[in-house]
Amino acid sequence: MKKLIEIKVLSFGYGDIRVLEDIDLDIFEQDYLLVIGPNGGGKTTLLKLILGIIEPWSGSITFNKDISNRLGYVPQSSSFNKNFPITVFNMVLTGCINSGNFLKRYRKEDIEKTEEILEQVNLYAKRNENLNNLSGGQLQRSLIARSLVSDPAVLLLDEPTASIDISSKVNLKDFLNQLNEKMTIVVVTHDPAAFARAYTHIACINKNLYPHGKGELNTQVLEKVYGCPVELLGHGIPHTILKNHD
Amino acid sequence: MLNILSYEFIQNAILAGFLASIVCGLIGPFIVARKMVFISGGLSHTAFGGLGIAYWMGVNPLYGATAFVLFSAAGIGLLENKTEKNDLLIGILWAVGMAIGIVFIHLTPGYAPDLMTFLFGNILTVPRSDIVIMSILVLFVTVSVLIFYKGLVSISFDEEYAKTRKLPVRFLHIGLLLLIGLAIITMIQVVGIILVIALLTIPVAIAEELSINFKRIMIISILLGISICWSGLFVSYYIEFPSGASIILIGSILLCLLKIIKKSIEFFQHTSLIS
Repeated sequence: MKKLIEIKVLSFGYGDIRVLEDIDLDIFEQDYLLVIGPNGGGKTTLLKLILGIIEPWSGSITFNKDISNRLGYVPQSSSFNKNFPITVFNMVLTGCINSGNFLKRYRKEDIEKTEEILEQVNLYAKRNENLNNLSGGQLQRSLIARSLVSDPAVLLLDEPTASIDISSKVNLKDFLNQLNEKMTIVVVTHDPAAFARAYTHIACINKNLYPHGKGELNTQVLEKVYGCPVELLGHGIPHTILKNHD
Repeated sequence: MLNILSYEFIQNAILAGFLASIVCGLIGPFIVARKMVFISGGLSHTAFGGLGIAYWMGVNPLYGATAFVLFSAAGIGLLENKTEKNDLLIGILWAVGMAIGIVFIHLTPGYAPDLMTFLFGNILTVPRSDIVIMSILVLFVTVSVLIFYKGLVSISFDEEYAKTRKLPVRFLHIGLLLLIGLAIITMIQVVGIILVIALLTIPVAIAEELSINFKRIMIISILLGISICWSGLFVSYYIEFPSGASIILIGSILLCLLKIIKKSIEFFQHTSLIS
């Protein structure tokens, strides 16, 4: 497997508060990585560091030359302006914008690609609707569609199951499984059970990355990460932890 | 009616309303989408400092206002990431701008009747020389919005995502602040420093009730701005109401009527569904 992202002794904080400390993490081609941990543990911060939204205090993030600028991002549904007057089609089309083309008009290929992706995520019929008219699951799919139009090699999702119902969670899981055949998936989540049997690795993060060797995700490790008693409802899901990735 | 169109001051007023409406339609939607109403209010009030200094120096007050607003816009853009107290920064700029204006007007000998025009607007007194300045500003704002449209929409909808696409988010944000400043200068004589923010937001609020497409909202806002400004102009001419206030009140009444009509339609649709 080709290594796509290499994170070495990465540290970051806000103000004087250190949020991430000495994180080492390798992400490989076709990995399906869940990043779990308590609120404020640094999960979303790690995602933002990988995406280049914020700069690390120390350490490095190195990308395989084949994937530079090929990172797709699906933000939390609370992070963008939901009241912005924009149709589903135009929102997905903004995924084609990058630093090299933001002064130019959209190309015919951008429009065709957007139509194709909207078909793929079953939202073509909704293309002329306002985002406000979409259900939680449809909104999530439209955000995934926006990231897919830029043809990413790694898709990073932040809490994708936060505001969707159970059937939408199942559909999302199935869709991400399909995507995982073509790209690496990284999901920050509080809900690992929603991705049961789909993911290949879990990274437990609470300031540090907590490895616990190959095997099951057990209560001892989670209690160390979360710093409180943990009951494992989805216990027994087989996975490996990234420190032992080979 | 046609008779009044032969007066130069009416021609100037019609042109001033038209030019102000173009910038209000081009910039207003971004102000509303990016929740920059308070920043824009602060910028418009800092203009008074520049007006006061220019008045004291004996030059066209619009030059002073332009310099002050652009300086403040750049200052807010550069400082707002370095402080968590943006509201405080804008509030201080707002008050300091007004204070500087008041001090310099006090220092200038004689009465300053023109300054009331800048505070509350008077579309009937815009001179031809200022129409030229306004035209240049409108041309600059229009070309800038056309060039940076994709980037501005991108940061207005989802700034974080724009960063992941490596767009120059900070440059676009500061650029937008400067364009807001130029829009304010263009509109000052029409509705005045105090009411300028209303003309930047009311047509957009009405347009957002009528369309979900950002480009259409811009076009509708421009057309509404023109209608409101010209209506205000004729109200002001025929019944001698203050023009700036008339323009804003006409816009507000339109917005209220539209809201009432929409709510009534929704209510009747809802009750017919139940029955």
